[in-house]
Amino acid sequence: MSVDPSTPAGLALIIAAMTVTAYMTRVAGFFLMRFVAVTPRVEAWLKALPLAIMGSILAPIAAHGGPAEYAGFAATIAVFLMRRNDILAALAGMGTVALLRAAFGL
Amino acid sequence: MADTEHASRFTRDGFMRGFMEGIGLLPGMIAFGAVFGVLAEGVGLPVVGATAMSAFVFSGTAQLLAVHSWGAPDLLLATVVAVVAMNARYVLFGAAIQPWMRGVSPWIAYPSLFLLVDPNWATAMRERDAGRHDVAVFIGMGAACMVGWLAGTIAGAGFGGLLGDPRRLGLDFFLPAFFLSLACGFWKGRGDLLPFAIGAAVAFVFDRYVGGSWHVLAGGLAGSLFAAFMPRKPKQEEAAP
Repeated sequence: MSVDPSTPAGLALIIAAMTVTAYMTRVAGFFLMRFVAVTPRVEAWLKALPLAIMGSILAPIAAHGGPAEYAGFAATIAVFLMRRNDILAALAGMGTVALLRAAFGL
Repeated sequence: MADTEHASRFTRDGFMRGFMEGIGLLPGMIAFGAVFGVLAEGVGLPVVGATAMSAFVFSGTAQLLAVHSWGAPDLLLATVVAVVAMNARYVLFGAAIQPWMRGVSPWIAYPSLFLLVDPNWATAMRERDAGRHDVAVFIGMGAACMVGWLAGTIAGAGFGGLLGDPRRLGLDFFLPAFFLSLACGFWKGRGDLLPFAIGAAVAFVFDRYVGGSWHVLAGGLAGSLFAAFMPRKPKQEEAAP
């Protein structure tokens, strides 16, 4: 099926298909969990999910990164440990990366 | 911890708390939205089309990939695949958030999941660990993210090019740094090292040899399932090497 995204109808169809798909990904896990009893094992699984996912998101970024990104990660951890503030730490990391890129063209 | 024996709530104060916290994310969301807007405008999407896509799909990485494949012969399939690949992690997010929302009416839970994105999911997990169960915090932060995402999309699609190179400003690093600081907050001790490290290792392999964003799903499942099936030991043994 070929869709022409330059026509309003074609673009609307694409956006509608993407919208339905995106919403499905958001509710699928939630819906299925209604049929799962929260046993100690399931609880251990759900508790470990955030860190496992964060490791998964960060690993490729670290692998593709250079000195500026590593310094940014270090600054993020340092500021988080000092202030226990998620957003402040992220801003510090971002600022560090921007400074190093500007100063050394990393 | 008896995670099931709580009453999840929905309060106006919670919404405001989530929204105010989300304001801190605005610069990053606006910048990310602007990047998408600039790219969408570049492939010929009208501002209205780019804005509608941001409002309904509300998935930065999926939309970027969709716009990236705009010339594909089977565009409808390519865009749907882009959303599935990039949003696969949300299936896990939804599963993890469900016990936290138990007790809230489906009429609130299902519409609020429309606003599920990475930061408000991570915040919900933090609230869960702190023993707080006000679902409105999740919605408030999601709403703030939506505001920034739409503002950025409109700015990028409308005035693309005026922003300069977002990479030079380090804007692309905001989201990774935010995830890292959340991971620091989740860190409770050495028992957390293996799920994190196994997730990272599996994700590294998937990123290198599979592509898309399957690495998040694969690593997240591998690390967390390892934790689920790891033999449960008393605290002092767990600390032993």
